Amino acid sequence: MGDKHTIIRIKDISKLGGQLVKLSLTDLMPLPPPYDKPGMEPPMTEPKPEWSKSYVTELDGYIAIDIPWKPKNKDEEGKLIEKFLEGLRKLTSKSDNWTFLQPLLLALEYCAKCQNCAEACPIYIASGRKEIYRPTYRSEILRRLYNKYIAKKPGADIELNIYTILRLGELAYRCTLCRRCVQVCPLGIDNGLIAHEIRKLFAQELGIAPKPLHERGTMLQLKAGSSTGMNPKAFLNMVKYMEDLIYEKTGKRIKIPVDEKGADILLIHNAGEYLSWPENPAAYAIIFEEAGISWTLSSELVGYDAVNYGVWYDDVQLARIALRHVEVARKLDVKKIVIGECGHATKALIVVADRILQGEYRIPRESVLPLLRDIVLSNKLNLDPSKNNFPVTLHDPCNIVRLAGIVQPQREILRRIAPLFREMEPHGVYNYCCGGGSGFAIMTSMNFTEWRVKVASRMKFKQILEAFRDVIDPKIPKYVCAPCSNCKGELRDLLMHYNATKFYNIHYGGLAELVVNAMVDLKEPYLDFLIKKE
Amino acid sequence: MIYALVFKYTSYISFIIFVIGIAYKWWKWSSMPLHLRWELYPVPHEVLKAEYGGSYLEEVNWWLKGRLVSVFGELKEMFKEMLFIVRIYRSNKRLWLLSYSFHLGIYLILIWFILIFLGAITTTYIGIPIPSMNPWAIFVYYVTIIIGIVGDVLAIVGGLGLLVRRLVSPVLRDYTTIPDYFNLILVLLALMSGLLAWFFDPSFNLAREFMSSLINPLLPPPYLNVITIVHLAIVQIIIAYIPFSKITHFIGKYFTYHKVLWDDEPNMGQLDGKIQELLKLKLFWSDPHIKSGDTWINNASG
Ligand code: SF4
Ligand code: SF4
Repeated sequence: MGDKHTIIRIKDISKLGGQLVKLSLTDLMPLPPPYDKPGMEPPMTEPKPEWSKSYVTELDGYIAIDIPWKPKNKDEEGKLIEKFLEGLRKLTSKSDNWTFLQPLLLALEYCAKCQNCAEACPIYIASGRKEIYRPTYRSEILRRLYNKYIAKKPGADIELNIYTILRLGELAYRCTLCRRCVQVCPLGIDNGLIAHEIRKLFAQELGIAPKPLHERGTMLQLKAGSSTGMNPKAFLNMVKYMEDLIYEKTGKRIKIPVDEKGADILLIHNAGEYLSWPENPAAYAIIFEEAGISWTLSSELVGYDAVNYGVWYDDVQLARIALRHVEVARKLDVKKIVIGECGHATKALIVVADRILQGEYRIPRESVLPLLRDIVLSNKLNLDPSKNNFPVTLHDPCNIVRLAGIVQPQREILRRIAPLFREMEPHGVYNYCCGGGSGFAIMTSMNFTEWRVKVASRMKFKQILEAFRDVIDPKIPKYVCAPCSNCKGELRDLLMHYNATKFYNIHYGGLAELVVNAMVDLKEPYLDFLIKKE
Repeated sequence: MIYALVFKYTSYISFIIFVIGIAYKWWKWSSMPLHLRWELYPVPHEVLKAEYGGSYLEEVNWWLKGRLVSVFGELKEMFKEMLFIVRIYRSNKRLWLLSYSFHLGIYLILIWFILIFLGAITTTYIGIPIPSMNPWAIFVYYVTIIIGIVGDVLAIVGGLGLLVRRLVSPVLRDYTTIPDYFNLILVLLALMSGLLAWFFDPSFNLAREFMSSLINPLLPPPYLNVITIVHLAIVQIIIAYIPFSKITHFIGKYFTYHKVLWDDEPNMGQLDGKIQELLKLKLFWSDPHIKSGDTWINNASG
C-alpha cells in the first residue's frame, strides 16, 4: 500500500505551504508496448512559479481551478474559512441540499475504511498509487471536517486552515466522478459523490469553479445559448454547413429539419459536435432521413446544446438548464427529446434531472443509442459491414453505461456493422473512464491537460493499446468508437499527446459515423482517415 | 444473587434501548427527502438485463413499455452480499478472509442467541429439560454448543486479524479514528469475555437458565460467576451502544443500495407531489449566481 514511499497522511492536507506531491514519469503506471520504451512518452513539466500567486499549486502542482481564488491576506483567509464552514453546513441541510442529502450523509457516516475501493480507481492506480488520489482521501477529509465542525462528533482528527481548503478545492477535481470505486464498496459508499458535493460547496457557496464549467460553461450557455458561445444564428449557419458537408461526402441533398413544430423527436446534440466533429450530427441527419424518422433540431437558445455541466458541480445550474431543454421541447410540441451521443447530457437530462421535472415538465426523454440500434437492426439502411473492415474497439462512456445502464445497443450496432470489433478489458459497466469525465475533457487551462492525459487517461490508453495489440502495425487503421462528445474530446487530446494517430494509425470517433460509413450507396468512405490521400 | 437480579433488569433496559435506537435510525434514514437519481449499474432488479448491467433505458420509448422490477433479483444480490461479502471477495481475498470470518462468526453468534432463546422456551414453557433424552432437547443442546463456540472463535480470529491489519498498515492506521478502534475493541472484548465465560459454562446451561429468567419475569436469575457478570455487562453495553455507532452499517448498507444505487424509479407522475414540495423549499447558497433565500423552483426557472 505505497509503504515504500513516504506516505502522505490525511493531516498533511493542512500542511502549511509546499506542494504535497510531485509526480514523475517513473512513478506512473507503466504503459504497455509499444509505449514501454523510454522516450516514447513526453516528459512532465514544472508549474510556472508565478502561477502559485493566484492559483493553488500546493496539491500536486497542477491547476484545475483556473480562477484566481487564492486569498491575499489573513483577512481574506479568515473569510474563506468562515464561508467554507457555512457552505459545509448548507451542504448537509435539507432545504439547501435535499437533492443529494441522503446519499451524502450515508457516505459520510458509514465508510468502513477498508480501502477496497482504491484498486478500482483508475486515477489512483495510474498515478502509481499516490495517496492523495486514493478515493477515500478526499472523502475522509470532508468526513472529518463534517464530524468535527458540523456534527460535533468526537474523534475527528483534522485541522482546518487555509491550506486544507485550498488543497481540498483542487482535490475535488482529481476525480472524474466515474464511480467505478462504488461498485466494489461492500457498503455502497460513494466517493465520487463526495467529490461532486465538495465541488458544489465551492461553487454554490463560494463561487469557485473552473471557468470552463461555470463562467464559460453553464453561465455562458444560459446567456448565449451554448457553452461553445454559439448563438442561434451561428447554429443555423452550422446547419447549412452540414447540409453542404453531407452533399460533398455522399452526394445526397438533405434538408436538415430545424424548429419543426409537431415533429416526433427533438434531437439535441452536444454543440461541441458541430464545431469539432460535424460528421457526427451530419451522420444522424443522413440516417434519420433514410429511415424516414420525424425529427427536428431546435435553434432556440439552449435548445441546440445538450450539455448540462451543472451535473458536475452545481445543482441549481443543473436544474436551470434541464428546465430550459424541456421548455424548448414543449414549445416545439414534440413527442420526446432524444439526446445525441453525449454521455453527461444523457445522464443529466434523462436520469439526474428526472426528479426535478414534474407536472407538465415531465416530457419523455431517451438516449439516441437505442433508436439507432432499432434503425440499424431493422434493415432500413442498406449497410455493407465490409466497408468497415478495420479493427474497431468500443469505449464505454461512464455516464451512458455504468450510470444509465445503456450497455447493449451500441454493441448490437457494432456487431452488425464492424466485423473486426473487439472489446476492451474490462468493458461494459466495469469500464474505465476515458479520463475526461466530470468536465475534465474541456478543462485545458495552464497545465491541467498534462495531468489529464498522463494520469486520468492513462488507464484508458493502456486499454486501447491492449485492445489493438495484435494490429498495432501502423499500416492498419484502427478506430476507437466513443459515443460521447466529452470522451471524444479526451481521446483527441490523449492520442495527440502520445502521437498515437501519427505513429500507430489509431483514430477515434462516434458511432453514427461508422454506421454511415457502412452505407452501400456511398462512393467514398465517410470517415476521413480512410480516404486515400493523393 | 443481587447482582444477577440487577443484570436481569439491565438486560431488559439495554434491549429496549437497542430496539428504540434501531427504530430511530431506520426512521431517520427513511424519512430523508427524496434525492435526485444517482443509480449505479448493475442494478439487480432489472429483469433479464441485470446480468450485464443493463437498464430499461436501453429500450426506445421505454416509458410506454411498463417497468418490470424483480424483487427476487434484489434479494439474491442482497443475500449474496450479506452471506458471502462478494464485493470484497472479488477484489481482496486476504481482507475477505478476515472480514468474512469476523462477520460469519457474528452471524453464528446471532443464531446461537436464537438457539439459547429456543432452549429457554423449551425448558420454561414446554417443560422439556435441556439436556435430556428428548430428541429436540438433544438437538438444541449440541447445536447450541457447536454454533456458539465456532461462531465465537471465528469472530475473534477475524476481529483480531482486522485489528492487526489496521495497526500494521500505515495507511489503514491513518484512516482509522478513535471511534473506529473503540467499536472494534468493544466487540472483541465481548467476544473474548464470552470465550472465557464459556470455560465455566461449557454446555451453555447457565446461559440458557439466564435466558429463561429473562423470558419469564417471575423466574429468578441463576447464580452468576464473576466472569459471566463481566461478559454480560460488556454485552449489554454493546447492545445499547450499537444504534449510536457505525456498527449499524447494516442499516446504512440497506439504504445505500436500495435507496440510492438501485433506486432507478422514473417519475411517471407518482413522484410529482413530493417533487413539488421539495421545489418549494428555500435555498440559501450565497454565491450571486443563486437567488439566495428564494425557492428551488424560482431558482430553476429563472
Ligand atoms: S468507501 Fe467503501 S470500499 Fe472504500 S474504504 Fe470506505 S467502505 Fe471500504
Ligand atoms: S469516482 Fe472514479 S475517479 Fe473518482 S475516486 Fe471513484 S474510481 Fe476514482
